[in-house]
Amino acid sequence: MRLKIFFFPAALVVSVVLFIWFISPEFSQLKDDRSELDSQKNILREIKIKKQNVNNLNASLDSNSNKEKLVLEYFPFIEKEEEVINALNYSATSSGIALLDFNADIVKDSSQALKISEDGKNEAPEITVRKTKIKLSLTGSYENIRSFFDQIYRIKRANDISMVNISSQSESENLLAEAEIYFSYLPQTHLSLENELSDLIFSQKSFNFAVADKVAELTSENNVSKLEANSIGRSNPFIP
Amino acid sequence: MVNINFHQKNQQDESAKKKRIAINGSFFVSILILVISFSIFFGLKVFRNNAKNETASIKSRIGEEMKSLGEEKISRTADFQKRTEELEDSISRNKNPKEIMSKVESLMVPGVVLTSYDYDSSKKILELEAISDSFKTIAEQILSLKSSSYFEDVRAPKTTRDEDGRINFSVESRLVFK
Repeated sequence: MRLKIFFFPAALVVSVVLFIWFISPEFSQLKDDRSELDSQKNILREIKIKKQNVNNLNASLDSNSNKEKLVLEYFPFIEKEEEVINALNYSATSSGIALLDFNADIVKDSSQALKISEDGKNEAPEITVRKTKIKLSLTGSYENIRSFFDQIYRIKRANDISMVNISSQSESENLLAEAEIYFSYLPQTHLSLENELSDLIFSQKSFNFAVADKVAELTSENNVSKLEANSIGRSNPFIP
Repeated sequence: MVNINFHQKNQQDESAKKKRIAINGSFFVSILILVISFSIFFGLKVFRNNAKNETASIKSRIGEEMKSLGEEKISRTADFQKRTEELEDSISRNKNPKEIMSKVESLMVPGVVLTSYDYDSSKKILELEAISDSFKTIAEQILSLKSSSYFEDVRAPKTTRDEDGRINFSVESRLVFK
């Protein structure tokens, strides 16, 4: 009987201890586990939506492959210096101007250097636009020089004619022009699966091809022939 | 008196019975409290295990979904998007030199001959050097440029007369375009 009398307070004490030391921490851990579960469910839902969007976007690129090709030609992965020289030569010849001097420099961008993360590891550099600066001088009539710059503006390579200096020469009717032109390219973006598809594009269902249309319009009058190296190979490279 | 004593005994029995009932009741309540407490504890354990198992299963499904997506597809998509964004910015920023030159042509005053044309697209600054026979035509030329909404901050910082009596002058202006 006495045992029974003490059983109630003992049970109360045991229950309180159980609540404070075991049930309460277990409950808060359960809450954490549930929130982790909810967040994982959300991630899975987002990934499913983004996967659908990626498939739609790829299908959109497949059905507009000509526009994709044009954009990649206009703004390529690599420098393609030879195409720039070919385009400059074509523009000069068809405009009737004479190219006098030509220098090419790769513009170095400090953001391309390897970054060091907080834990001391090297991080892959962010892919940024890279530029080749071409400095050239040319001579010709005003109309021809104007036509030359117009053609350069319209060639199938992203460019920025950043400086134009035209001056008259006392001994010649022809004008002398100097220019600085930046030709841009953008290395290919490689996303790894660990990137969690954080890019905004994956939230969209389709691409905006307006830029491709602008490029098509801009370069529509450009007729630079495709560069091909014919009849290569010679036994003595030091003779013409 | 006998009756009184008998009555007291009955009262004692009744109070002892009540006490027993109370003690038994508290015993069962205690058992109930313990059962409920342990049930909650083990119930929470089961819930946590379920949540953990479900989380692990969802994580593995996330991995499978990512694998099925393919790096090539996401890279192609991200690359094209980045490329078009950069191009949009570049195309909207660049100006065809022919357009600027045509604008200058349309604003030239008779009697003024250009000797130098210098345009810097990063600053949008156009510097023109020219010769003229009179200050009046120089003034007209400056006015002509100022009257155009295409140019702003037009000023003529330098004017000199050469040996032949012609006036050399320069005009600086900033181009205004979207």
